[in-house]
Amino acid sequence: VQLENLFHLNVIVPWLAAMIFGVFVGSTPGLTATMAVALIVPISYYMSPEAGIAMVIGVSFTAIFAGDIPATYLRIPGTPASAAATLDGHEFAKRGRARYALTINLICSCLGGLFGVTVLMLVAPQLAQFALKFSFFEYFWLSVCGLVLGIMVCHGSALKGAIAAVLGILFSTVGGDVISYQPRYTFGDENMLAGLRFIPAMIGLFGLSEVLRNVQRPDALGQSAGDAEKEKVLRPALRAIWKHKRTVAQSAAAGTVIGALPGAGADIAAWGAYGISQKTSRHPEKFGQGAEEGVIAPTSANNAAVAGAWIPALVFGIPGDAVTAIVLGALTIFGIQIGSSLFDPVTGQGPVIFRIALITQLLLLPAGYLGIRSFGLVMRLPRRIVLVSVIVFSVVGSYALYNNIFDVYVMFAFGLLGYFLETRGVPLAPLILGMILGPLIEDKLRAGLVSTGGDVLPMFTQPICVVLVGLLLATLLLPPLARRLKKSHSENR
Amino acid sequence: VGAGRRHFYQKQVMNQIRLRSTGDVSLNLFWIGLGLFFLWFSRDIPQASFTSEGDPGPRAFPQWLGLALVIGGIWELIRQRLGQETAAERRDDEDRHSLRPLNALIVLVAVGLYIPALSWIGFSVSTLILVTALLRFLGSRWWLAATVAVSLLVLIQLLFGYGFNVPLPTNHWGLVLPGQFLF
Repeated sequence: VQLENLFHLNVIVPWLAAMIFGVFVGSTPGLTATMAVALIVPISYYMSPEAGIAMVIGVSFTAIFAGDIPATYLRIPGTPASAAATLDGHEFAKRGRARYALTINLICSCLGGLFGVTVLMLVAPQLAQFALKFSFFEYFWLSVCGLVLGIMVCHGSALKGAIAAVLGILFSTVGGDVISYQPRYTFGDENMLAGLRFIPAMIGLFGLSEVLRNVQRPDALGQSAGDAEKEKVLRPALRAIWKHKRTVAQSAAAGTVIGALPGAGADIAAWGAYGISQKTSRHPEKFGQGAEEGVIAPTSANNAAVAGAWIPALVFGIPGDAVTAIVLGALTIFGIQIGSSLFDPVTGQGPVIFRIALITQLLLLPAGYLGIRSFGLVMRLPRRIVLVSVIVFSVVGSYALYNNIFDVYVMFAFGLLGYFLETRGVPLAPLILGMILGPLIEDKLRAGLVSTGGDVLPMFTQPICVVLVGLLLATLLLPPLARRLKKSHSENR
Repeated sequence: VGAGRRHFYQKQVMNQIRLRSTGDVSLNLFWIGLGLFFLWFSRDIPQASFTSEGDPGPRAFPQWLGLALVIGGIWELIRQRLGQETAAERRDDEDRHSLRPLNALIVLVAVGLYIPALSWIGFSVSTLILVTALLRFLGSRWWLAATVAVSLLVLIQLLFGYGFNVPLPTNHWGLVLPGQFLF
């Protein structure tokens, strides 16, 4: 693979086309980033190695951003990593400012990706070594931290959020047990053995429940669902990003580190960055109500996490998530040697891959812009047409994953559940986060206990565990403590 | 007039409190019921795992969580009874008087019928019926509802059926028409 060939038209054109395809797939509810990469791999074999590798890497970085488009417009996350984007991004859309939110989102995706790739180039071996120090208990605590952050950043009652998270973890226990594969709550149905799949559940919770809420307002059904704005969005978006540059940097850094941990992935990175940003923001009360920082944080982090996941993947051949696993497989087919030889100054192909990843971030801008504009045109239709289309896409999207009608029933049940819970003020994000992190929490806790013969002490004494438990305690105790101090201070005055 | 208006507002506030209270009681009972459901059926899960010592087993985690759900529900119920909910915790009651919950119920029933219909009469016919009927119900004209239904169907068939090679549900009798290969 030659570096100078990257800028030929026969590489750039299929590269950009693949990225537009990635936007298309990623923005279709029910189709995942994993599916987008899986679909492009067979096509890439017919291309030159440069074009083929560029197409695969390009799609892997595009589909995550693309998932934010329906998350913002319709409140249906295109990919699991986009679930956090439904919070503030959709609030902007409700005010007719979806294009503004998505422009911020696109630029931050590009910046987050650039940051992640730069870190990948500079500190890949060192960071990968650190990631390998994480054993079962460290992953357990990391997942618990992610869950607690997810509960605390949601609007409404924290207790209701915590109960919703418990319910989410409970739903994740349905199906085969994570360690012994014993059936749990399957009631003899073989469909239940695979468990309640996350994507149909997510489509139901966020998509169908939103439709049910909207059809109750007959006066709004004839109005356009799209942007009311006619203003230029680029300059205000750039100004907002500059204003919150610290959020971009800290979220991209958090995303890269979390992404580098095998099994963590872009979804945990997005929620983690959202939580950190709210905790460090001067206006945490604005989060969830259409805060620019609430758009910037998850999107900077999820794309940075894609690059972060490449750190252990390229150095040790340990993919952080399913998308990276497919990319890794495609790279080996193109003759790329994974491991330390990749970084060999003479024969290593590392610089080519890094450069492809860097240029991909820049190509994301035109490909993503096209996606935003196309989706925006669809959203000009009257709301009733959009809502009915969302129902059909929710059904098809749930079915498309495994061609199984059972998943459509799961989507329907979760739509009903989401509607019931939302009308009673229960935040849905902790529930979905519980479903994502539940298997990881149970698996790591039980595997850790098996490794220590049932001894729980190492959970609290291993150095990284101590740091994570400390962070958890600080997250839980500092806000009420600060509130109490503030109250007593004002009373003394 | 002033006393009448005050009485009207008082009544409205009381109605809102009653609505909220009923909603929250049903939510807490839902948590408790669901927790008990998971606890009850956790008896069917084997207690011990065949893996090595130290593993709490496949039953432990659902049991802990089921118990947590029951305790959480009871806790919320007690807090609510004692009136310890803070203003921030109470949900914002939307402008309920302008909402039509019946619309949501009808859409829900329509989708509930649509899903089994997919396996019986195939994707194409059931989608045409659902989209046309729902759009008509939500206020679209007949010709517009039918046009949108056909356009949506063509789009989905092209996108999923041909573009991504996802086979959409065919009809129960396995007929080519009007199932998967309508176009």
